Amino acid sequence: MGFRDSMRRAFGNMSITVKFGLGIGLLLSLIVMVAATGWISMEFVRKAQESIEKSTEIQRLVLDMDRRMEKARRLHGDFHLQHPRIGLAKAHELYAQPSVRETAQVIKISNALRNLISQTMVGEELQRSHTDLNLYLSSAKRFADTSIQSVELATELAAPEWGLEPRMDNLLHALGKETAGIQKFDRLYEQIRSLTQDYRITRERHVMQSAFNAAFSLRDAALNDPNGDEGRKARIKELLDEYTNVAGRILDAETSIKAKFNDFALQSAAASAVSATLVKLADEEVGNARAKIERAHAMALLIMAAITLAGLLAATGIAVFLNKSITRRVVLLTQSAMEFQKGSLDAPTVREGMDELSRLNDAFAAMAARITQLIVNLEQEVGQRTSELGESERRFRLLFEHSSNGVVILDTVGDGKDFLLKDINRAGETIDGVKREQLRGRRVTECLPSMVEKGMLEAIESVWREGESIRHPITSYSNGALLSWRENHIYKLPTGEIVVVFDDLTAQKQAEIERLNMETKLQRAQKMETVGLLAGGVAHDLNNILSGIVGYPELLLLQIPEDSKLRAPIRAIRESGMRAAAVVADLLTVARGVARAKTTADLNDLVLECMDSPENMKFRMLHAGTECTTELHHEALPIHCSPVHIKKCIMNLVVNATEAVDDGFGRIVVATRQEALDERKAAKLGIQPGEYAVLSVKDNGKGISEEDMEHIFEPFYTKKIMGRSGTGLGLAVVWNSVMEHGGTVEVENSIDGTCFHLFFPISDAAEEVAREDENGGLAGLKGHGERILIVDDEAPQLDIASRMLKILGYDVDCAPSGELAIDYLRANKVDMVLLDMLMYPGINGRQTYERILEIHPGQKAIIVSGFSDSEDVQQAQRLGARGLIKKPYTIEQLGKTLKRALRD
Amino acid sequence: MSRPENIILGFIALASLALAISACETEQQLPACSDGIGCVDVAPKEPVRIGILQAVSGKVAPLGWDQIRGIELAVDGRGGKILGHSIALQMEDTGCTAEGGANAALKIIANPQTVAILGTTCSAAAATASKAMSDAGLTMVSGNNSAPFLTSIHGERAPNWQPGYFRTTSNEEYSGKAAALYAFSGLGLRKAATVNDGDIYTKGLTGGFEQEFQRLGGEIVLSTSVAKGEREMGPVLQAVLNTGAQILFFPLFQPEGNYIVFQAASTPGFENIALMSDGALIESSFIESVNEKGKGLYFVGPTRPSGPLVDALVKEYISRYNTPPPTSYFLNAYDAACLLLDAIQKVAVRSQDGSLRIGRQALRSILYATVGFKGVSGDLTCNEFGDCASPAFNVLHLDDPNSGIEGLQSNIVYTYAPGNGTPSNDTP
Repeated sequence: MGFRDSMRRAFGNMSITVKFGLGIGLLLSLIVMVAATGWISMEFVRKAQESIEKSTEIQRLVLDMDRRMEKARRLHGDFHLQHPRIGLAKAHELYAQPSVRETAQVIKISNALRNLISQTMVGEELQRSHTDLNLYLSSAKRFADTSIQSVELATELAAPEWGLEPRMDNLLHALGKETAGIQKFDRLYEQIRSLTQDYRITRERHVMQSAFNAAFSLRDAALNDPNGDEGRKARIKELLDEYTNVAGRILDAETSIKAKFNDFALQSAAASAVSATLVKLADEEVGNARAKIERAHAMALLIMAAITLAGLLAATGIAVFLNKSITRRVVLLTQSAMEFQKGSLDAPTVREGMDELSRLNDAFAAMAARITQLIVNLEQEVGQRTSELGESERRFRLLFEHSSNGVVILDTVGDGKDFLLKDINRAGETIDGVKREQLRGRRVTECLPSMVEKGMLEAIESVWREGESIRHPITSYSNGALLSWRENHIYKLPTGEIVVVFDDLTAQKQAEIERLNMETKLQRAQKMETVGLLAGGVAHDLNNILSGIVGYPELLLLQIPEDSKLRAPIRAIRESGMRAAAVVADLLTVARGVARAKTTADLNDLVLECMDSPENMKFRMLHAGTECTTELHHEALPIHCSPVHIKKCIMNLVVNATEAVDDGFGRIVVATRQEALDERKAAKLGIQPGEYAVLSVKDNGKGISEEDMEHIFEPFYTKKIMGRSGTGLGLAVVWNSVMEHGGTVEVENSIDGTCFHLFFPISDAAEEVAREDENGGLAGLKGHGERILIVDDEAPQLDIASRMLKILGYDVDCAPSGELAIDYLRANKVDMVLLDMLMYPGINGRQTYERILEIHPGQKAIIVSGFSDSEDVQQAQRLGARGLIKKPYTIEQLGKTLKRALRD
Repeated sequence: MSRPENIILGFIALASLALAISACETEQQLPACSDGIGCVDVAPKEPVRIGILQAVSGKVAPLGWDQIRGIELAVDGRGGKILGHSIALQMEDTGCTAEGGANAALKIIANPQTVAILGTTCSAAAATASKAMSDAGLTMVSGNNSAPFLTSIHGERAPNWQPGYFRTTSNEEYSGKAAALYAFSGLGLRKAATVNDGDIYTKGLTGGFEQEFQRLGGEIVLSTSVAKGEREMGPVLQAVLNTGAQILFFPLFQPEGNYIVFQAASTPGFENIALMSDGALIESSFIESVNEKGKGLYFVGPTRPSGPLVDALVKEYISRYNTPPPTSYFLNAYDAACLLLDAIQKVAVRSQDGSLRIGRQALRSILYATVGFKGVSGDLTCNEFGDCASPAFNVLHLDDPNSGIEGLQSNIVYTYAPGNGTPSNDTP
């Protein structure tokens, strides 16, 4: 395998990103190279231009510096030349000072030059020239020093009056005076003067030396003159010494000045060489910089041309490479995709290597195969779904049409302000009593204006706007009774259409109300049963106990004298027992219903009996401020009832009404009437339609609160003051008693008072209205020795009953259990069995009676029960038991019951 | 990851590595200069620059060239290198004048890389050059200067003393003294005239002479000057004659000294006047110039070194320059160069890259501390004034000009060496 194949394979396996990356990277590299070349060449040019500028500046400064230096030297030279002619002060002003200023400028420029060269990018040669600049600077400084020194020397020489030259002139003048007149002296003096003048012209030291020699001769001549004045000699000597001294100083000064000028020449030579070098270097620098620029230009052009050529080749190569490896294949893939779009599912064939396009090619092929398969599946699926959709459409159409609910489909017009009725199902037609054909395509406001009135249109608009489903029932009532109930559910379809599902739930809602009433009653009944169970258990034992409390005092009262002081307390014991028994009886009435045997009685009579009863009279006396009147039906109102319980009801209602009104203004009306109840009224009251005797007790009190109304018939619910009023069983007894008689209680309550209506079915039986036996005392109750068997598991009860019956003249036998009674009757016959219903342990009264009847069919029996009318009692009565007497009983009650049972 | 991506990553890694390596390649730099007056940093491959200030023009040029040759011999003796660096010599002409010395010194000093200066030939040039040099923090060692003004006079700091100035020649404070001693005691003369050329060297010598001569009881009848470059010596010689001087002490350079000798020879009255010059004229060109007219001249100058080292060096001198040395002062120049180069070698701090750092004050200090340096001219011990050679002067008498400089230097009539106690040979 060759390198080329390896490379081809490697490129084939590269990802497109890497291929593009390599191509673009290569191009970018070339671009970067071009940019770098341009930048570098520009940098070269910039530096070269900077170098040219700096070099030019350096050149300018050097020339300026040199020019100033030259000017300083010239000015300095002029000073020495001109000061003898124009005077020292003027020469100072015109030449010396400007020279110093120029020198200072030179120093400044040379410093600037040195900094410029050291801080800028110039050529190495120029950089090294800082040494020359140092020299130039030093030379300039030295020029400044030496020129000042030379000026000082010149000043020392030529300063008026105190300068060496004027002093020498003065000395010569003085010497001339001293030597005047003496030929020899005068000749020597003239020699001195002449030589001095010669020196001033030639500045040759040996000339001055000659003058010194002449001065030496003059001094010698003067000092050795035998005719000379000593004073004159001394003056001449002094003047000559001073002259020699001054002349020597002039020589030294001029030597120094010469040295200075020599110094200037050396400085000039050095500085000129430096400046020439600097100018030359700057020139070379400029030349070099220009050459550099040209080279940079040429090199940049060459490199850029090369890179451009390389770039073109690279770009071509990259283009060919990318076209072959990417673009061409992308085009093929695109064509395949377009064919694919047209329906041709042939897979593309652009697979080369393992790059993304190859993978895309593979994916494309897989996708084509997959899509082909999917199309087949889809066609099947579409067929199936079309069929299912048709089925679904039919199903939903059937649902729509056969739905028990009315369904209306609406579409908006006028931005939700109105709706077009698109469809309505059959149920809707039925409920609303309309025809689909009449409504379709019409506006709701036109065809169903009632919807606008009932707020339906607003609800529909709300749903259309908000998209939230709502329930919108429309109801109507009359006197608290539900007349109609239309249930509407409104929701919005995704299509924007509004669906209203509605139904007439009037009957259903009415049934629900009825059911709720029944449930309430049931709950109450269950509650009462619960209380009854409680009370029943207690009542049996209490009545057994109360039998002793009621029975024994009564037996005692029969035996003790009429004037005995014991009669009153014994009677009180009996009355207390009787009241306790009455409470137990109420409890049992509430719990187990009316256990007494019912007879037909006139309701009016019962009202009157109750109103005239001692108990009521006594009560009325306690509430004298309350007026209690009766408004009785004009005809008798026979009802099949337990008169005791009816009277109890009347009394309880009157007592309640009396306590409900203010004593000073109370008014109570006890009325009776006959009312025929139709079905609706009967249904509302929960009783059967028909004729009813209605007992109404109305007061003008403040009425009963809503809260209390719910509970007034519940046992032990009382708003009365504890200890002063009743036990809370009054209205419960009323309710249970009325219910036991197949009637009902209706309460009208308002703030102006309360009225209780007690509905009792009118009795159809032409029974004679029962009348209480009016036999006077025990005499009428006496028996005739009939044999009575008393069966009771309570020993005291056996004893009391036995004693009472014996007092009443009966032959009595006792059996403490059912089993013993059966045994006894197996061997004996009795006229009557006084049979306790509940006995424990052993068999109860009903079971005992059943077995007795097996022994003595038709055996008469009176059931004695401690509490309510139980199933066993009723069963025993159905078996033939002739009477029922509740514990505790009085001798009178026992006598009457026994007498009636024996008679039957 | 695909192969091209690996290649790109490889390039990046290599570039990073190269960058890291280049970052690690930091130059071994010398520590900061702590020398009191600065340092000279000599980069690798850069030469150690030494300035040469000598008089290489005019009549004194032979003296100057002799100095340069002595220096060259010393440099060559080290193979032209010091501490691996070549020695670059920058030569400047002083013209044997003060202004020439000053300007030449400026040329040397202008280059801050110059470590030190060897020179000058003339003391006048040294006076100005040493000041410029010293101000610039350089060190200068002369193999020819002898003027007392440059170092010390009577054990005190001389007016022109400058820190960093050294010389391997004797302080000629004792040169004038030796001449006066010989003139007064050796020749028995009591009236003396002196002529200088105004520079500090000649004035120093005439001053020393006058002081000692007068101290001995003699009379200085004339103390005058001639101008440098002056040719006409008649007036000054006449003045000498006028004053009745018995001896004319003229420590001048060429050509002024030559003119004195020439014109004195033709001036009546000078046949009885002794002429004494100094070491500046103990030079073959002078002798050749004055020839017979110089016969009888006295010279006072430093004692001439001798010994195998001197002989070997002279031999090398002749071998190299194909001429015998005109004076023996090249030996002092040789010593000056050796003293300086040794000192540089001792104080230079060399870094790993070969660069040198030479502390300028350190160089001065080590030279001041020089004790018993074995020079060809003798042991050198530098005092605090920069004098490193022991004073020892000979008075020479030119009996036979044809015997040349060797004959002159061999004809020692008096030796004065105060450091060694009594004069070595003749007692004046």
